[in-house]
Amino acid sequence: MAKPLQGILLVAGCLLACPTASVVAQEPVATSNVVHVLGLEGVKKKIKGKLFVSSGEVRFEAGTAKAEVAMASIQDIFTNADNKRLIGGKLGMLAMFAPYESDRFLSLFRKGIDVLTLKYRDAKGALHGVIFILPKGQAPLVKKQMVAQGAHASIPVEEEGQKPDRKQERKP
Amino acid sequence: MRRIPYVSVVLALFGAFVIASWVATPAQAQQTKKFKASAIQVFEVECDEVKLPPAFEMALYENLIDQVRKTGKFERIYRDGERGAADEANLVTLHSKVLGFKEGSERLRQVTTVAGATSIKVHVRIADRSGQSLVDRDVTGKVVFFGENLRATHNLAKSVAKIVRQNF
Repeated sequence: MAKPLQGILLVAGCLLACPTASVVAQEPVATSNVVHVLGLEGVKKKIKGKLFVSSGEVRFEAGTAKAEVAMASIQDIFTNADNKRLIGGKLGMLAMFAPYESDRFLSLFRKGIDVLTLKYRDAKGALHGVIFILPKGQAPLVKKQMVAQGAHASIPVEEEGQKPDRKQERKP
Repeated sequence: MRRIPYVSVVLALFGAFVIASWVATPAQAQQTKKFKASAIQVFEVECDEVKLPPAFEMALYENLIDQVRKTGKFERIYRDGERGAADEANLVTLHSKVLGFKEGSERLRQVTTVAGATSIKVHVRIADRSGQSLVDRDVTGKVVFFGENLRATHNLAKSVAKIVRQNF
């Protein structure tokens, strides 16, 4: 009587455990509304797309264009908070011609953004730099995921975001 | 007394100017002596003395590679640490060291127009295989009126590309 019960439990255990394990291992974590500023080969500058963080790589997809960076090749990850004009693009350009210096007034309204910088070496040992703009608050999360997947970061996520020492800054 | 016509004076001055420019040409040619190289290796930006945000550092490095490639003066462009550069017989190296950095404010620029400029000053050195300097210059990249702060790195890289065009 014990053998059939053991068998049922074994099969049930496999059914429950296997799909969960495969989902955890394969499903990449995606961040949308990511802007590729520069650095990825084969991807246009300032194009909006999705950033996927999976176990082996970081992948950026924007329409048909896509580029991957192997997680093991990443030497450093930096995050930085910044801001940009709330009304940008073509509408922002048109605002330049609006009367009574409306353009300047509109420039006061801004939205927060995060800048994510990756430093990596490819298979030939060549150094590359990639910069992304993410929605506010997303960069530290992405960095955490990447570090958890094996990417190297010289500054821990908790320490980043602190202002650099202004004494070291020199005017040109 | 016979007067010298005005036209002949002008002609004489013009002739003198032409002769002077002919004489000056060899000296100028010597000044703008161009170097030849089939490949260039762009090294990582050195910012040991001046703190440069990582985004600016990487943007400057990538823009330098991009702008040097656009000059069309070299058959091959190698990145920092790239294997294969060591085998190049006619290779020059591009080193850049940050001398100064002032991060401005995009908001201040857009609101006031006159304040909030971002500027980066970099010492650029192009050396041959033996390490001898071919070009040694200080270059400044600025964003004064329009554009985001990172645009300063693009402007600086364009100035470096201009130096490359003048010397190669």
